[in-house]
Amino acid sequence: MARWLILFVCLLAGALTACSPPPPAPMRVGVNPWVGYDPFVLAREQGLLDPARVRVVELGSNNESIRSLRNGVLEAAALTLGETLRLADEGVMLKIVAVLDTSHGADAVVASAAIHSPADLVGRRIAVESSAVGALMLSRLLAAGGLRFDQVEVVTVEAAQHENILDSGLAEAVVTFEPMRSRLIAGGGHVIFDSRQMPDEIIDVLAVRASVLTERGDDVIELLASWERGRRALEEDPAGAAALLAPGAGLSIAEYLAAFEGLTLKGLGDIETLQPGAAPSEADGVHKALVETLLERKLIRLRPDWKFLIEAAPAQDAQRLLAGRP
Amino acid sequence: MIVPLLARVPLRHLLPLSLVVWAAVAALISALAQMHSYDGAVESDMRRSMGERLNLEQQRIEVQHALGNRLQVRRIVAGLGLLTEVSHAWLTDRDGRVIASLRRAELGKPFAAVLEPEPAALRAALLDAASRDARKVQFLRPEGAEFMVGHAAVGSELRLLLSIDLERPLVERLYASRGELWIEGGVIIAFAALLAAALHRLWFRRMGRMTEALRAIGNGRLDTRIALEGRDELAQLAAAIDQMAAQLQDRQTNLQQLSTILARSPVIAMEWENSPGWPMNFVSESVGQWGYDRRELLSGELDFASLIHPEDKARIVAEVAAYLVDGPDEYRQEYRLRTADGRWIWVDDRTWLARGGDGRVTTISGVLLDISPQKQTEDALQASEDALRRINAGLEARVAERTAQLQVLNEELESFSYSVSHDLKAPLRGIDGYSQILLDDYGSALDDEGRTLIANVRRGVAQMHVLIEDLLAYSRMERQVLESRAVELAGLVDNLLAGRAREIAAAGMVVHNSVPALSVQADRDGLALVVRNLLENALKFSRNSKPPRIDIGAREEADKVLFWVRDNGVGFDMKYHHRVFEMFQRLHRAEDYPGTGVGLALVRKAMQRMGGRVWAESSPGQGACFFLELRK
Repeated sequence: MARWLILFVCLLAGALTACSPPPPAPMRVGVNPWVGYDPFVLAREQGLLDPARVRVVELGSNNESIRSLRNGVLEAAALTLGETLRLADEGVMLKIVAVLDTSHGADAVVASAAIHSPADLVGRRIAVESSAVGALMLSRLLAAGGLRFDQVEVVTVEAAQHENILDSGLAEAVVTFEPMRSRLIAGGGHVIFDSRQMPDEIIDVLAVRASVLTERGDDVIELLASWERGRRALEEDPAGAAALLAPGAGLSIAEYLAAFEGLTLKGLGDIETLQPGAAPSEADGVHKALVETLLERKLIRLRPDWKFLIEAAPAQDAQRLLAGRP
Repeated sequence: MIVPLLARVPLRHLLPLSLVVWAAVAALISALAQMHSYDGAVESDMRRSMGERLNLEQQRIEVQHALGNRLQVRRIVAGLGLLTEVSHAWLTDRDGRVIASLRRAELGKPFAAVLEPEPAALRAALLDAASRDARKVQFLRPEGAEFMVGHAAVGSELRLLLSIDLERPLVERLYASRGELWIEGGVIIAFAALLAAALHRLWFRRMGRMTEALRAIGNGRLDTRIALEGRDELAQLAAAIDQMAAQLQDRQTNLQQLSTILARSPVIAMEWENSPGWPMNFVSESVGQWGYDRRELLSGELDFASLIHPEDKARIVAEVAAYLVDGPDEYRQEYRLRTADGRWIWVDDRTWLARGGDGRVTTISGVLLDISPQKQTEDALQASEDALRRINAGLEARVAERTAQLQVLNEELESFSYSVSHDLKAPLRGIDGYSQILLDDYGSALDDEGRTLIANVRRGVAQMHVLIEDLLAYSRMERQVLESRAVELAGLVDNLLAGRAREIAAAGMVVHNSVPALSVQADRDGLALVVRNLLENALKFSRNSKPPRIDIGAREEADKVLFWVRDNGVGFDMKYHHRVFEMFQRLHRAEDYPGTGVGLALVRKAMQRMGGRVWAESSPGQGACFFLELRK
């Protein structure tokens, strides 16, 4: 009798415990309007990612990405290295799993017709996104113009609102990036300073929450693979990609394609370039100017722990996945 | 299909299992009810949270749209992708074109067109929502759908539409509450399991014992007992079964004893069917004494009627037919039966009938006893009786003949006695007369011795005379015809006493006569003779007493009357009682108490002739009492 009962209860328990937990919600990766992140968008639009595992969320600004990541609303975000370092400095447990692109011209200071050089900005209002890259660009801009911070008026404006900033007269110059840069130029603005003058200082990375990497490593690999698939699709068919994505960026196809001239998309292997050397200072060496600026502007308090921050394994796994290897 | 299958499962497993299954079903129903309530709760939560979010986005989009900041508008809408519950979001313009979406490729396309890949129900709901004109944030959820559609007007031209997934939050909610469901279900099932275990322990384990015991009893092991502890119904049932088993065991023992006794007894028990030939249903083992094998008889090869003697068969068949119809239901028959070795034996068949509800006889039962020896004895007895009867007849004839001869001889003897007595009296009278003359005439010539001798002769003559008178009286008493009639006893006694008054007075005798007024059946003269003799006897033997006393009395006893005469005389020893009433027998010397020794013999003879009885009670020196027993 007892044997029967135990068997029955076991069967019942087995049936009930077979109720597995629901699959996790898609991993959300936040991207701001920066065109350098569009391979994620392209991968989504072209079905190059598994929507059940990865959701690419287009946000209005870096700040929105940062806030969402900080608040746990995002599991991953495409951010500039500087923003990532700031967040890490705040204590948000992040991991950099990929270098997405580097900017050499796509980040720019676009000014109205009256402003011809950085030096002309004395006493002028400069719109800038409240972000590390904004601070860095502003810092480099003022340095280029031989100006001090107190000689200009800095207005904080979200990236998505940069498009009309010059027309509205709220500012005479705006520290911005593609696609807003192209939109502003199309609107009559011109570049007085850009990231070409600060090579390798503006790097975009993919940051994921450390816990996500631990708990959803496979989804992170899928995310990285999605990037790579989107990047490759973009490079293989730039025109097709432009036709698909340009309207959303508010650019023409030509403008869209031109926007990419100011940046270099990175493959998954480029994570190695961030790998820390034997000593922390070696890593700082690569990004020394960035780290120094951030420290100087008090945007970070401590030097970054590169060893903790950089996690190359998922990118390697994603490369193996893409290569069809186990 | 299921019922026979379930019937094969032992109840001790089925009931506890059913209990647990019931509990599981109850837990499942409870869980389903809770799940249903979750559905409503999730929808309600979603309406609230999405309503709040859309309320915010409505404002933001409206502002950015007013500023002409299309990129920002697109990014606000795209930012809704942060909400995992939002499957999709669109912002359409007045022409129904998508101006913002979670997917960039949909921008600029007609809303209806971008919905093409969506499931029909969702598409219909979204188109329905898009067609509505309301500024208020609203939600639609088709019946049973796992999604919800939210919509809100933005300004006068734009419309924000959301496809909201309810399945995931519901699943997550369910998953989150699984612990609660588990605990609830677990408690129900555990309770049921405990109850089942308790039932098993309290009921089915004991029932198992009972079943095994019943099976053992069914297999004939009647000494099996369940002996369940407790006072519940099961224990009571077990006690009843134990009692039943004990009774069965007793009965079986009795039956075995009876069977053994029957097998060894001369009685053969049988049961017949009420059908022609009376085939046998049951025959006791004892039929072996007739040489038959009971199996042979029960096999139907032989029917009972064929064993009955042909001369008896017709009678028996007719009698049985009558009994079957009219009763009585118990009867006896004697007839001859053939044994296995061909002998004929007489049997005494005691039969009883069992009838069904319709009065028809169902079975005929009987016990048969071989009475051949009795029959032979009866025959022998009958023969002996006949012979005896013949001998008796001869004897009686001889007795009558001898009696007649005796009668004649007796009569001759009586006649002779009478004649002798009578004839003796004449010479005796002569002797008396002549001796008297001799004494008178020649007395003086005789000397004294001569006169004394003559006086002795004369005394001897007188005594001889008395003796002859007594003998004559005795003889008369034997011969004379007595007339039995009512005689007044008291009157008779009074007359006799009156006749002896002088003698009584002379002797100074005290007579106490207490005879009541009683009547007896007797011959008056005979009775007078008897009483007179007794009185004389009493007077004689109490003469020397001081004073002499006689008590005379009588009393009734049933149909008799007891009469007595008691004196205070010399009495006698009771060891001589039988001699007192014999002829010529005397217990005292004639010199002391003169007499012939005939009186009491005469009394006895007279009483015999009158159908009465006389006896005496006495002891030496204590007087004597003579009793008469007379018919009333």
